[in-house]
Amino acid sequence: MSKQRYLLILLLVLAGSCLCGSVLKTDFLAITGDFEPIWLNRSYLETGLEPVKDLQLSFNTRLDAADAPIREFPQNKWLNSQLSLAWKKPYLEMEAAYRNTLFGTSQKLGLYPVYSSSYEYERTAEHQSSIMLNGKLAGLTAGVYGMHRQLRVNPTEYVIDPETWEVAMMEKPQKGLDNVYGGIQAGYQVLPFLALNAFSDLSKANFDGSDTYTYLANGAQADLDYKLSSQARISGSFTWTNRDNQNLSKEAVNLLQSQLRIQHKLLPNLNGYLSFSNNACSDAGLDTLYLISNQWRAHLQYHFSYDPSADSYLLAGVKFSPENESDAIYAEAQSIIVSRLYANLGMRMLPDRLTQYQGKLSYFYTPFSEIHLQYQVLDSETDIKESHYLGLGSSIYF
Amino acid sequence: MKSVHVVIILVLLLMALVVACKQATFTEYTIDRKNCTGCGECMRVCPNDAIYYDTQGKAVIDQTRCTKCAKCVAVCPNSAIY
Repeated sequence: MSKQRYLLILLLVLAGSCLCGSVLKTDFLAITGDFEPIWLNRSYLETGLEPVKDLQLSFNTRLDAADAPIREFPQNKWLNSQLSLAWKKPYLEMEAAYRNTLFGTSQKLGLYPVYSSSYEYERTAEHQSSIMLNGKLAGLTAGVYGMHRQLRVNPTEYVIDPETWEVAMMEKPQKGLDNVYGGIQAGYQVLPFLALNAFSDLSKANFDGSDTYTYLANGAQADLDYKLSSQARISGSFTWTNRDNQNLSKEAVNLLQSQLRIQHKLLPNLNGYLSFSNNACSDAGLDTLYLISNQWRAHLQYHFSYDPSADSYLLAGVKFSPENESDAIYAEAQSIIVSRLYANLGMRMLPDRLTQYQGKLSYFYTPFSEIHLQYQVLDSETDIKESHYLGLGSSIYF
Repeated sequence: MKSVHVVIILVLLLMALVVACKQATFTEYTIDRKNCTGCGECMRVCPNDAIYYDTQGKAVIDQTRCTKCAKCVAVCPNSAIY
């Protein structure tokens, strides 16, 4: 990244720090393993203000800056920022947002499904702007959105000499690959716990000038949300989407997505949920129904009553998704040890993919600000190398 | 009260129907929106620019560009991809 960009980041951070209701998190980490040690700075800033009633301006930015690429992340520097302006009334809401992602290290990008052996692209940045408008009146809802996303790339052209068969590499000027998205939706609250919606989404890209990336989705959705008791709530949805794109499998023209989630407060300090998601599809004629994937998920969280700030807890969860081999088990425990000092232990395991353990000691020097020492070990059965993260950090809420 | 029971039973029957159906010959990864925090880790590792943010700041997988490499599954800190 250029010096101007760093200056812009610094100015944004300083501007953000002048605002109220903000959070600033920073970590400095040393990553070791079977490779040269890597230094990583991870920072996050979130801030917002309400200049006039019902108008909210929000900004958040996240920076990961290391001196070498880490694990499977190809960029050693990555900055993602978002600025949004929202106007919200009970019957109408409007939002305009701009998101910017800077890839400090260019990354070679495959633009599947259009593969060209004569061109190679390196992505350097992404700019995304969107606008949306939602209205609500007597049980009727309607919404519209538009979004533009531009990927900045450095193209390289490979030209083969037909006589010598030698390949010449020519770097081309930076260019933008554009994607546009738009959609409308309308719905009606049929019953207090049931809403029906219809939607249409269209996206296009100019990557190759053809219709390869044109995607049209029309669908309908039923949303269920019902309070079973003061302690339990059930929510779910069923969505049918008709998808039109030449790259999709013929079996997958109609996508059927079902979700059901039951949240329950089992004891005064014990909360949990059970959820089930299913993706199925069918061809255009709706002749055969095919299963794409299921996800079963259970999560429990217990807050220890000895800590009135509710920062001492125990949580555990399991996710079961056999079709796409994306099962997961996770657990975390955090407890106050002595006044203002907290200890945190956590683990996350994705069978055949990843195992992660972490430990953290946090000292709160004010009720909302802390400094911490953390250690994390990450191992994988794939090509990701075993990594040990050790570092210091802080979180400040102001 | 009765109508909600009917709706729940219908949803469960529908789920039973789709769970019992034939396994598709292809793979599609999906982001669980309830657990997605919009951190962008999946977008960083995607080698095909197949993941983007929607207007609500949640990650979306563009199925027409995804090559099913599953790199996003491992990096998601909330295990929100299935």
